[in-house]
Amino acid sequence: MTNNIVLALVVVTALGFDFTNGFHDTANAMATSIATKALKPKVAVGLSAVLNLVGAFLSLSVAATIAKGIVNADLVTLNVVFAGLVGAIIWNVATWYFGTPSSSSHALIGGVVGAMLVHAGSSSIKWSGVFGKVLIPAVIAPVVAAICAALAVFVALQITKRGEEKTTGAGFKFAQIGSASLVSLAHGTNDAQKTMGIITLALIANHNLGASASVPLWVVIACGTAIALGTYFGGWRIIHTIGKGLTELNTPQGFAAETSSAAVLLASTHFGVPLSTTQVCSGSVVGVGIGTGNKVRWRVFGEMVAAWLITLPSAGIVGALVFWLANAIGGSAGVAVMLGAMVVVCAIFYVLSRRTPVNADNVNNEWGSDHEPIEASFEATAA
Amino acid sequence: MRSTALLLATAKPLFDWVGLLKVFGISIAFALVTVVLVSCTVRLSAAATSSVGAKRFGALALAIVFAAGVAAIVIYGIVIMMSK
Repeated sequence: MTNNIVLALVVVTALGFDFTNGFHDTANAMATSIATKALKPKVAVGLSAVLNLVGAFLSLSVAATIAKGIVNADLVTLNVVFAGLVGAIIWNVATWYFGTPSSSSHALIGGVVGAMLVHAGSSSIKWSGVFGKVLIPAVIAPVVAAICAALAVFVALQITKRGEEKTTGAGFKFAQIGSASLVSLAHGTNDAQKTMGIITLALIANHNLGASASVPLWVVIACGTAIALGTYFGGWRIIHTIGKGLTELNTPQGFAAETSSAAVLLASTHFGVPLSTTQVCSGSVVGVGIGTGNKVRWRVFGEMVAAWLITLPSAGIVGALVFWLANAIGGSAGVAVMLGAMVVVCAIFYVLSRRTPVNADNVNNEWGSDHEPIEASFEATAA
Repeated sequence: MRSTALLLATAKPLFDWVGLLKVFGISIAFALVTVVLVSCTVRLSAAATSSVGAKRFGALALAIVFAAGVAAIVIYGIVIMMSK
């Protein structure tokens, strides 16, 4: 009975993580299309939501097991998974509040690593996996994407420089919608599967499914719906940062950035190199800024990179604390109390965000204008 | 000394650098091919609207060929996603 309650709470938390993953990562695909006005903000998040939902059904070979190659999988328990999810959700919500794009997968890995450290000690962590799958890719992904995008935008501008700007702009607008849609589809395929993997593993661990069972249809539908809903809610604060905070974008640049992101993500998927969608897409936007000689706001990008580097330890600390407290209280009550605490923390961030709201109406305001929540928040913190 | 060298030679690297190089090369190739095809489509479409007669027809036909190339790349991308 207790195990079933814990399982139900893990499933609910996993779907909550999927939701935050959706709204956190809407920016990856749609920030440039919104910034260049290729799509209206609401239409962009709606299109991205539909494509994320479709992506969830596109491939069901759930190989995305939680923290594979990073922790000793035999020692992972339902409570470890729960604590890892809570760590990731709180990190996602906190970074959303500050308008900072960060990897949801890295946050989840961090949360699980933190919980595992408390549960089974440092010998249960494969540190080479932590470096090879999280830390090194966090540094490399934006560099690869930036070089690719800088070359792409240079070529695009060279080919079309003699064309009438109005006509070529319209053509690139159409192409940008296509490339952004491909990134959305890839995101749905990759990220919804991770949550499907978590829920399926929890069901197997609780003996509700056999060890070789495939993903139940209700899990696919629930995960696809959660990520699509999250995407539709739109992480406007992060969309504002990527679309307006890094560099000035027009349609050829937006198209080049999204095409480069799609190319890097598909190639990394094909060769099994773990690169984060968030880091690739942010790197591409910086790359088009460099490729066209536009001003790149390195301070904003530096803050992003700093956030990427502290994602793992930050989510890990929360994961460790949640695991320790849930165990100290004990049983399903411990998990339920921690779930309640997580909801309260998320609600606090939501209430704080209402002071400087960013939504579909003001997401395209110029960086540094009156609705400038990110700089204001950091300055307030510094003060 | 020899055993250390052997250990270094057989140790699993922290990161798949060869895989990364492949990703880097293929990404640049695919992104550039796509960008060239799309840019040519856009440029030719613009040329077609401002031309007449055979020139207009030629520009439009070429634009369609380039657009078909883009569509093929997109379909290949979706196939990669599905076969993962």
